Amino acid sequence: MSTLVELLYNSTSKTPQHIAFKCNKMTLSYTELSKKSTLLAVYLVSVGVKKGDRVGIYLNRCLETSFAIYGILLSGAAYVPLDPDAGPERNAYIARDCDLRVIITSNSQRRKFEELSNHDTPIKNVVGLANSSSSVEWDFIFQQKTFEKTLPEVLPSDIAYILYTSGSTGFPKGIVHTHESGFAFAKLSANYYKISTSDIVANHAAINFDISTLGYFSGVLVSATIVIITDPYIMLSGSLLKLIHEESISIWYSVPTALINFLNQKALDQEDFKHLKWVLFAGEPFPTPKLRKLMQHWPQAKFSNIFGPTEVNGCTYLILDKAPKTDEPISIGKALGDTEILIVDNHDEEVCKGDAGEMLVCTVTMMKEYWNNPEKTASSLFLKKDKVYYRTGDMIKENEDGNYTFLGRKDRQVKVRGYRIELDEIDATLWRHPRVKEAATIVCKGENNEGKIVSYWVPNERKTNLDTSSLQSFCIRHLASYAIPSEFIEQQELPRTGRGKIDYMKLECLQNEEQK
Amino acid sequence: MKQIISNYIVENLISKPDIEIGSDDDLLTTGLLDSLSIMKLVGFIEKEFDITIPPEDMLIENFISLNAMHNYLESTKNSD
Repeated sequence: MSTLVELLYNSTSKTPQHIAFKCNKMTLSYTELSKKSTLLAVYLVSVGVKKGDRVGIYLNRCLETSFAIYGILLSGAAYVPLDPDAGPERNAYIARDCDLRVIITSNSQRRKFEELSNHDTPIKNVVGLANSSSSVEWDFIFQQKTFEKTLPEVLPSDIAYILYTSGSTGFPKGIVHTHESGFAFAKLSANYYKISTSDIVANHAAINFDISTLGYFSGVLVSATIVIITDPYIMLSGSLLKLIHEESISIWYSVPTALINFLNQKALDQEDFKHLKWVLFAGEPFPTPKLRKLMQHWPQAKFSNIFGPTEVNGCTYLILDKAPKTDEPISIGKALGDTEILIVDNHDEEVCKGDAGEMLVCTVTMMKEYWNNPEKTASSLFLKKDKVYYRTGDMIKENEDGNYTFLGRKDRQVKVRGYRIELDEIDATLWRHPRVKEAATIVCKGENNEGKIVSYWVPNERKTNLDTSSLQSFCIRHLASYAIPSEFIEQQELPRTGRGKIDYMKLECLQNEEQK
Repeated sequence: MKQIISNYIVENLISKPDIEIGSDDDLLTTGLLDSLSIMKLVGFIEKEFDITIPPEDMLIENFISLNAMHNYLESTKNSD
């Protein structure tokens, strides 16, 4: 077994009646998932979708995502999630960039989909809208009688999905994964966390975020039940916490923010979370004081930090059995599976053990390429002794105990008044302040065109009267004098990208506007 | 009360003046509001109606629609 479609075939024959996906009160058994996916694939082939084509998914978090993904994969095409939280311009760009002629959507996205339709895109076929002359309804798909149309054979080297992330040029870039790289990560993560048929996996991430592959692929690999958490739960953490209890979630995987939001909920002590075995997190650093607090609430669960950009799925992992004792940032752990890691300086020479450098990664879970962008693909790769490494752009160092520590993004290293400053280090310092929930630091142009460090921060409680001079003196105690932010701006929440990461570009725009 | 909230959502959160929000329209599933706009909305309601919304009241049933918010705000008045 080595393709993502085989995951579905295999689980359907092993556990046909077991619930595969659950969303709100609706469920799909493995047999139903298989049938719906196959019928969608048959339809896609009938409208001309061929092996290697791309098919778009314009859905929020809903049950349809499950058979949309597997239906597209069974048709031999790769799925491309559009971002329902992004504007139509961005989605139209993605549709043009990878030539999406077929889009799968649903009635709940009608208004947004119509906005997208007003833009220039290659879209010709639409699945999922009711009462629309330009769309085929789900009922039509599921009532098709013809199973005869043979579906193409899917090979490990075929492309499986393309996830778009923000590019530094302002245009999103498409990260192309094959069945082989997607499958390799599904297998690795299922093995490492011993996910099994009896597990109930919470899928918190939207499908345009690689975190979702744990539910959609690792979960299906072991015939587990995957609970798709819908958007209202994502927005309201009180309801989300109840859901973990009510659905007896045993495996959780999300960005740290989602977990941090639980900390001010009283239900954290009232509800029973005994089913929770694993709390996995990825995407950005988890401030250690908050992590410790949550671990104290859920002592029966093991926590794990999974690290790696979307380009490689995951490359290191750290398992935490006990809450960390100090407020030091936790490490990103050791290499996952057969992943090989190099740490290099600016001249691509390996640094001495313990020194900081850029992390290069060689792994079977690595992407094939950036879609339609050979220059970008070439510049992101590094060849050494016949091996291809991906340049992560992450600064790390190896510790005495063999674990790696994440030091920040290479491009978050700035020079202000001649001093080299790690903006991520300033964030990490602010996170340690007991009344700070989140912080994000940027550099903008100050007086005389000199760099000015500005920290945005979110208080733990919404109504706080924390004086910024208290933050300043806290920074003075913990940071080099040249790294002290000259301004602290309080926010109710930090802007985030569609994938839940802090949107530094947006903060820079905010700051530029303010200065005008 | 519903009108004030509806005006705030239309003018400040989705900035599309031509959209009309029905009292029972699902604001959370259709993508009208996202996490950031929910936080802004809560801040606005607290200021506008001079109340404090505790974290444990951040529930779907209290914020799914204009009617839900209305009922929730009424219930907080009664319990005072």
